[in-house]
Amino acid sequence: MKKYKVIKEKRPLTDDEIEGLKSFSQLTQSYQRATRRPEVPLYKNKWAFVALVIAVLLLLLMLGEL
Amino acid sequence: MSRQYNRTEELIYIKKAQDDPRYFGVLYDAYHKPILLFIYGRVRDKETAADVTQQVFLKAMLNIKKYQDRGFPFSSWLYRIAMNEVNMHYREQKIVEVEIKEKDAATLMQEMGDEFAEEKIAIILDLIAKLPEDQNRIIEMRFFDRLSFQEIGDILGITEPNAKMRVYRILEKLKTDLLNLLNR
Repeated sequence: MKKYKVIKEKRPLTDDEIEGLKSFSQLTQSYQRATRRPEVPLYKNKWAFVALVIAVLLLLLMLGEL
Repeated sequence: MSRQYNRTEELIYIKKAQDDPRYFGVLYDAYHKPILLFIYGRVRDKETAADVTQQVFLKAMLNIKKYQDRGFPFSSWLYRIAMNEVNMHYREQKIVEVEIKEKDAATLMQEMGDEFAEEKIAIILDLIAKLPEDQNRIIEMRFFDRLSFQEIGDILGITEPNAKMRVYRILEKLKTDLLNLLNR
């Protein structure tokens, strides 16, 4: 529910205060955290799993030929 | 210090930021102050304003690739994100108390053809709070954020005359509702 309250005047922010509240490095850190790929364990990684299966099959083929 | 860019320069920086987020810093630098002040006008303290502002720029940075130039200034896209973030911030609270400057309340009453009176403004503000969200937003933008019709139009993606017409239609509705309440 919204409610309005009439006030005389809100204290304006000074330029120094505004500059103090500005931080692009902090924003970049948040961006990196938000876009970082989650670390997937090897057995849950689809491509790593496929590569592992191919490697095992190749090994079995090679062993069969020996 | 922030500096303003012309539309061509701005589009170049947007394109650069879409290719490499590090270039977003130029846009952050140019729009941090107006967006912070816009949010400060709507929330209780400067710390909350700073947090919401960072959230706005994070959303903008994450979605900059989706930004398409439709002829409206880049700031209108940021203001739209800012309004959504302020609403999200308030949605977490059960009762939202928005502070309105007496001067702005007086301007609103003047536009409605009335003079500032504490009892009357309390009723009007109550009526505004009960307006559908889109209408409530327009009134807030015009009278409490002191945006021009052009700026409101840019934010809503409508023309300036259309924005003006919507504001005055809502004011007419408020006037009628106020009269009905007073005549009861």
